[in-house]
Amino acid sequence: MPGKEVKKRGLTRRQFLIGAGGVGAGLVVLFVGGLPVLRQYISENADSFLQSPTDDPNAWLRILPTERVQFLVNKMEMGQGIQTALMQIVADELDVAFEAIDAPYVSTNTATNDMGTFGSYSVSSQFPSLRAAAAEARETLKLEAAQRLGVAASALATADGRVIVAANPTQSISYGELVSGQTIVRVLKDKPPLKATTDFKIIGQDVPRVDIPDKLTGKAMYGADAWVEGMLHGKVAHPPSVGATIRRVDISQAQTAPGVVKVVYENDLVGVVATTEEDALRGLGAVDIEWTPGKPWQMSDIDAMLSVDGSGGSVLRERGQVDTALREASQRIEATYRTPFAAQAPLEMQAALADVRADRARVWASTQAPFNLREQIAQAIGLTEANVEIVPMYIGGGYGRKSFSEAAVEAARLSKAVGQPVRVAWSRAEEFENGHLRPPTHSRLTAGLDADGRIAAWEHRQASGYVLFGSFPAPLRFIFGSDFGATRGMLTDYTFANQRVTAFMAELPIRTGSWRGLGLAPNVFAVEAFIDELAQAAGRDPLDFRLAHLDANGERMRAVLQAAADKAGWGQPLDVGRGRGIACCQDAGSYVAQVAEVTVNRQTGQVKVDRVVTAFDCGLMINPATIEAQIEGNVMWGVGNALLEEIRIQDGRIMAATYKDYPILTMRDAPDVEIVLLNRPDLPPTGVGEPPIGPVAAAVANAIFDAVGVRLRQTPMTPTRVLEALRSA
Amino acid sequence: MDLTINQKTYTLDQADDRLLLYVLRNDLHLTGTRYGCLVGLCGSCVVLVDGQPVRACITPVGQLAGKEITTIEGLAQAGTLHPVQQAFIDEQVPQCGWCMSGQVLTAVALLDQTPQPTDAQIIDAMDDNLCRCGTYTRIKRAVRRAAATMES
Repeated sequence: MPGKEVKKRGLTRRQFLIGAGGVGAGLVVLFVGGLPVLRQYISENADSFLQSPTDDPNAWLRILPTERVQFLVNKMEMGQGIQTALMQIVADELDVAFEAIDAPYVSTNTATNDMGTFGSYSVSSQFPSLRAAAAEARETLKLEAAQRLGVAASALATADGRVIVAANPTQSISYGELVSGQTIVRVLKDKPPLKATTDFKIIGQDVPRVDIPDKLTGKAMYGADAWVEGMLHGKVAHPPSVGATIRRVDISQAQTAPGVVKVVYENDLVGVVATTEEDALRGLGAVDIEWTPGKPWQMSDIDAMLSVDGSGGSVLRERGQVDTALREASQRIEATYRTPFAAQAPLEMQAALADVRADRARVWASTQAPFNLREQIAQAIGLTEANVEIVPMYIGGGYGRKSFSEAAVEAARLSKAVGQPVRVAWSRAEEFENGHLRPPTHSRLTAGLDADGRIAAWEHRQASGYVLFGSFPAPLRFIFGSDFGATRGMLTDYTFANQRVTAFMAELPIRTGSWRGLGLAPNVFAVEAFIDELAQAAGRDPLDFRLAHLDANGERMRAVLQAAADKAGWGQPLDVGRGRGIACCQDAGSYVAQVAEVTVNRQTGQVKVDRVVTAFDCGLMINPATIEAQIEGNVMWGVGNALLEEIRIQDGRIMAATYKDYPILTMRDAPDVEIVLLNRPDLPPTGVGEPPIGPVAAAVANAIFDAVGVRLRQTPMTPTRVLEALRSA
Repeated sequence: MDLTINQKTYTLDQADDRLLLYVLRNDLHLTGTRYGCLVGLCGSCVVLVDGQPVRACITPVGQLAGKEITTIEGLAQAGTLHPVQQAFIDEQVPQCGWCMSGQVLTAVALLDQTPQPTDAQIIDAMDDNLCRCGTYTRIKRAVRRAAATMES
């Protein structure tokens, strides 16, 4: 996502500490071991607030006399393995064993400020800075050892947590001994010498993820798991339809309902605090609220807002003479693609615990953006940010949904109102109806083929609801013109001499925002399915056609396309009713190509995705096993998105309350996943968590065409839509 | 009433119609039993009742008197992980991990009844346990691995 903001965070402002001198080891130890210890802390210290366990919140790395290295990870773990990956980078550059690193989960009091964990940029953005910090520490330890050993620093080497005299490896001193009894503080300024990538020993290895064991014993603590002794439970009233506002409230019945401690009614907030979760729910049910409904929005209203006509769009790319080239083309092809509202649907719904006191607050939550949440909560309860501490817990599924933690804000407001810790947990219906959805998109693609069957002109006009714009003030929206979240995936690596790509933004009445990959899946669906249509019109093989439109700059894309095709057996015959489709994209700096194999039932319209082959190049690989796991997850998401996922609006209501209304992919429909990883240790690491969702839907649509000869231009490709397409063919 | 959970007896003074999920998580702080739908559709809250997989979010505690309840916290014995837990670690199954308690306990019940399940039997037993991260391929592998370990 937003690369610009990330770069502004200067490396030179980072500090790290070596040594444990005046650091207060007892407090540090409290957090070592991560969340299980935190749980113990929560239950044992319910009424006292912990002081910051570090003297300096900018401390990133801490080398202790115990030979342990403490590394304060400020990226949130949601199953992408970020803790482990970043620990591998630190361990390798610092020359310590992976097992010597402790990476406790941190709070906003102890972590370096960070925009959040999204956009598949955690590794790519921290790889250079973490290496620099670790290298600086390593070089500092060498200087210290040079003094102690009476040897020039240049004659020293490091390995496995020790500084070693290169000419005489029996002479060495451990990092712990070097820092024992003193505190060395270094501020990173210049670029320290980095290891050669060919010397990496831990980077590139399938190190088992550190978060996994606790996730199988119940010990891992998520936002929804946080508790303190004596906490109360809160529930807040949410509007029955989009834009509904409170007209009248009668709290008298609820006030005397069993277990109810307080009914809170202030401004836009109606909530009930009770001793149990059930009593809170029943208590809220006893509040008599009359709502003024919002407009009865229908899908037709939404569709009409997503217009790609006129000149109001923002041009993302213009090359050559598109209109002339379209006029002069031998063949002109046009198609319209649509994608619907979709939900992130993490299994862990919104839930948080807040303990708000007169002058300070602590909030435990699943959040991808703890510092943004701190700002929101400080505002909501009238405290300064410095007096609000967010303790981020493990995230039970983020996918963009947990960039916002509405339940945490509600918990804080209720806790403030009752002066006691309050936990708020949402239901699945509340989650669907009051979160943010992926906005629908509408793409019109027009292309001209020349006499040789090459793409001579390409025009893509796309309309989308907001993805990131919702968080931007109007002047910024004006300056940006288009929402780079919504347009993600629209620009291709193909060499079209004449092309124009235009984005139209629609401010929809439904709250929309991030969803895994943002605009990537919708846009690559349109682009890569349309490319297939052009290949067909040109009478070319879809793989050859793509390769023919990639030049020398497209070398990495060509490589993944070829690798996926080879692995999938591209060109080999399939049984009747089965088909194979290919698609590719570049995203977050990574390259991905996928071949899907499907079986289509002509009678029922049912599509089964049998197999998805993914070839992936994300530069240097930090942890190949985790990369494979992320590809597997993206393929499942991609197939669910292609075949199942859609939310509709009716009479101003979001029409999903349970997983029956919004089915996600289950084990029975999971395709076989095959993966080819193309390691490029010569190139910096790039994004992993989202890019492989990009091509899936297009690969499936193209495979359906290969199987039964019809084009599906709308996701999800449901049996009804497949039958319609077959009937009108 | 008394509830036997992970071989410990708890005396509850609340109504029999309270749901097991809230008793486990909010009263006993056994937060390893997770939830994702509250209507018995997702499988995140599965616990074992006399060895059978049961959805805690739709099960009133009144039905459970005299029965043995096992939650994820009680699956390891004397510090040794259950072979299913170990297999899930060996296959590096979890991503976010939220659904995993339910996945593991459902798999334990399956292997208890069907020690060498076919792929179709694994799918039949596990298909109602949702995993939004999409770890299905690895869950299948881990169940097969656990079956092999438990046989030997």
